[in-house]
Amino acid sequence: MQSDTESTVLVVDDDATALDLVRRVLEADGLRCRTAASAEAGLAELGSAQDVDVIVSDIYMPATDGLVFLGTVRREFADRPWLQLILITGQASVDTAVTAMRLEASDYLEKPLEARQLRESVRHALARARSVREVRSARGDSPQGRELQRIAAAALELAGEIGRDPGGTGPGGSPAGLRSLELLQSLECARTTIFGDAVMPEPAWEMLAELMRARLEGKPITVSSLALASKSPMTTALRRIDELVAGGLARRVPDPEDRRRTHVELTDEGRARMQLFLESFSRLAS
Amino acid sequence: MSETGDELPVGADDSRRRLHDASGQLSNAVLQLSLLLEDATLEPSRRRELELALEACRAAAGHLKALWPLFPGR
Repeated sequence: MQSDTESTVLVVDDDATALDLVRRVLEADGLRCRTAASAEAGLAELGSAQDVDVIVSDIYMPATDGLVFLGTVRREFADRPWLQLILITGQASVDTAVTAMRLEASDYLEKPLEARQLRESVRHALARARSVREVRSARGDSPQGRELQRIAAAALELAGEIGRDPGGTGPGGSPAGLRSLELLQSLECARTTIFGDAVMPEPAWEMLAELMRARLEGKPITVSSLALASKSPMTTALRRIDELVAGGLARRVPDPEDRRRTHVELTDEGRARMQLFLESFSRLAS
Repeated sequence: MSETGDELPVGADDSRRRLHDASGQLSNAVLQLSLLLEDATLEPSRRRELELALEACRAAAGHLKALWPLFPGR
């Protein structure tokens, strides 16, 4: 297993003082760093160094900005899907946040940066990079490797189905929708097979899967049913539902037949995020 | 004066650049101060001075953030 001390962080910033400070903060935490004063230098560094797991880049740079740089990294280094990207910006906006999400950025930090916040973000990104490397090394003829390949293929197929059938299939479902449901169930079964009880699922993920299932089946789901499906305490489940709604991934809708009950449904944004997640997952695992 | 010391005419683009420079410089100050404050051997009075400086920089950064909506774009 690769430890954090064997991983390298590439820091890219045109501001020499910021570059030096970020490097010092990370090295004080025992991390190895490379630095680049421009996007072009960053690409050259990546080309010559195979040990980079995390890139920390400023967005606002004069020649090539950080978002363009990271887009290029994703394209030119597609064979290194474990690369984690952390973006730093002085001016957070919805547009840059969305672009960061599309680049599968690990984190999006707003200035002013603080040492602890930066280290936590990098540690988290290193853990993610390590997980992806391990998942990839588990491939091959082992039962886990074959199961992983099957999950990756199922995830990609499901992402395609979600993209083609955004509105759900209605009660009974279309063949495509029913196929999606089978894939969703297959993903959940496979996850349990691989991780067993050692990894408890995050209630928000269970809820998103359940909301996706309800959308594909065209059946509404009540707040209480969704909370039960999350397999977590009711107070935790209700808090997670609030977070999903606040995040624009789900919405509450009054039950037209019984005003005392409230349904929860996936928003278009939630569906799009599920699709993006499945595509990303499939790419990382395969 | 800009980061490079040039005199700049004050237009929207220049103002954005100056705002960006100021935001970056304040971020550097915050990062430097937060790094210094991690030293467990700091004397209490010195620690208090650094904390005051850090609070002032955070507050200034907050004021700068409030100006960004005046200059839309990245």
